[in-house]
Amino acid sequence: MELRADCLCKTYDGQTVLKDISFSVQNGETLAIVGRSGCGKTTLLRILAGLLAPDRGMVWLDGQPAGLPGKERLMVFQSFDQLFPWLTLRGNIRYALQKTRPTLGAKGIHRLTERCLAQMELGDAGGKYPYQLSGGMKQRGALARAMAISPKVLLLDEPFSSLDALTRENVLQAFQTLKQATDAAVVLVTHDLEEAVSNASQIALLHPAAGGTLTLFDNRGVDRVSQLKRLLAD
Amino acid sequence: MKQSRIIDAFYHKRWVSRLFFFGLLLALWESLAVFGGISPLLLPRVGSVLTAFVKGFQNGTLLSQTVFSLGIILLGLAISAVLALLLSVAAQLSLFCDRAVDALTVLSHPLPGIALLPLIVIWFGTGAPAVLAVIVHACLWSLLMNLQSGMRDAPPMYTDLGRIFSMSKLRIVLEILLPAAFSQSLAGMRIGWGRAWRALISAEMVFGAIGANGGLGWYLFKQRAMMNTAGLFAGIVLITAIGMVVEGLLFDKLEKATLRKWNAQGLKEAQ
Repeated sequence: MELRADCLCKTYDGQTVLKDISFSVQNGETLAIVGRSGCGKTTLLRILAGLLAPDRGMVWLDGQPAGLPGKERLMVFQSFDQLFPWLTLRGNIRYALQKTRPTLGAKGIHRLTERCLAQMELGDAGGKYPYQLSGGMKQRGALARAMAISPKVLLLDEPFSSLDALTRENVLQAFQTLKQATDAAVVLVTHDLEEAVSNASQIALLHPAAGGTLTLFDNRGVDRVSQLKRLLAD
Repeated sequence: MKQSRIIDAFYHKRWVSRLFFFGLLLALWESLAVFGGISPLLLPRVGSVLTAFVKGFQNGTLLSQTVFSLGIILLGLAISAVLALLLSVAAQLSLFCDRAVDALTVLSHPLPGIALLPLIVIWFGTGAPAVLAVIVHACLWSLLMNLQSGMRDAPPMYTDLGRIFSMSKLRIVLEILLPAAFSQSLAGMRIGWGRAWRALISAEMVFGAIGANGGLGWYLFKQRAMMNTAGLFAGIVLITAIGMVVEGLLFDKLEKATLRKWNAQGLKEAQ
């Protein structure tokens, strides 16, 4: 499984946000996209998810044009409120499964829902509505839903920001569980360099000053945090 | 200790303060009726109103008029709800429909139902369809506006999730945007109910009896014609009581139960 971005370009109101962005991510790998706020990270992620059309360039999935959004490329959002508030946590996961994996049948959906809830340590919270959950539990709930859908590509839009340090650690653990369970190609957008370095095999720095270009780094054996900090400061 | 508890309840429990002021109003009313030198034809005693109220229910008049009014308003609300639903779904599915619904709402919402009465009489006569038309006009636009604004205000990621789940546009509207707009449509229904209730009573007074019944508005009209002021007050009290029960009990409870799920902030504001 390979996700490939090929010369993606996007312009808003005459201002170039993304310029010739190219990279590829294999299954099991994580690419972290870092950059300052408003540099186009979320725009890039939405293009990868198929939710936004690029002005130029293509997104490829296993050598095929990725096309419309679908369960193969699942996006996990930054907001705590990405679970539907009128459904319980269990209901949210079941609903997603009914829509994306209907062939599982009622029993299969039930079993998978319970398994994902248990793996995210949310077994006791399944019957609760989102308003009854803490921010960290909601994010883990969103990750449990992603785990149940089992996408080929996981697109994470700063899912750990706005969490306190302890909860973040908890959710990061849940993220590792999700990665292992799905073996998906992961694109993680973050503004936290430490988080990028400790979770990704590749790091991409998005430069708004250079007209939305991307610099790729292999994240092995070098002090990338200091290097990235210097580059971001420039 | 006991005194401070009563004061605390007065300031913190709305029903206690309301009960107190209702009692005060009744006492003022009774004092004026007894000592104010006002003719009972203008201001009957509280006891006379109570007697007229009980008599009205005993002889079945008030009950049948209440059932009639409530039946017709429920039908009107149901028609408005279906129309609002169809129009807002259409508006979500097509930009052309959205613009058409927007133009229709902007034109119709500010128009008071009473201004339409002469036209409604010409078009529908003075029967039940005319009253229904008034109710639907009174309620539809606020319901439609709230439903649409609820759908528009739904977080964009809900629609994104629908697209990721490969749902059709219609399914996204029906299964995601509609539930997302529920709390706002409930608020619209509440406003609609208030407007429709007032419009219904006015329309019943203007259109008069429809068959054997004419509703509570017609009941009021008849009491005035017969100079039965106590009966008139009994009707007014009943209309107020129904309004309070529906607003205070039904909608309040529904809103608290649903806003709690939909958004906690909304619940705080509602409280």
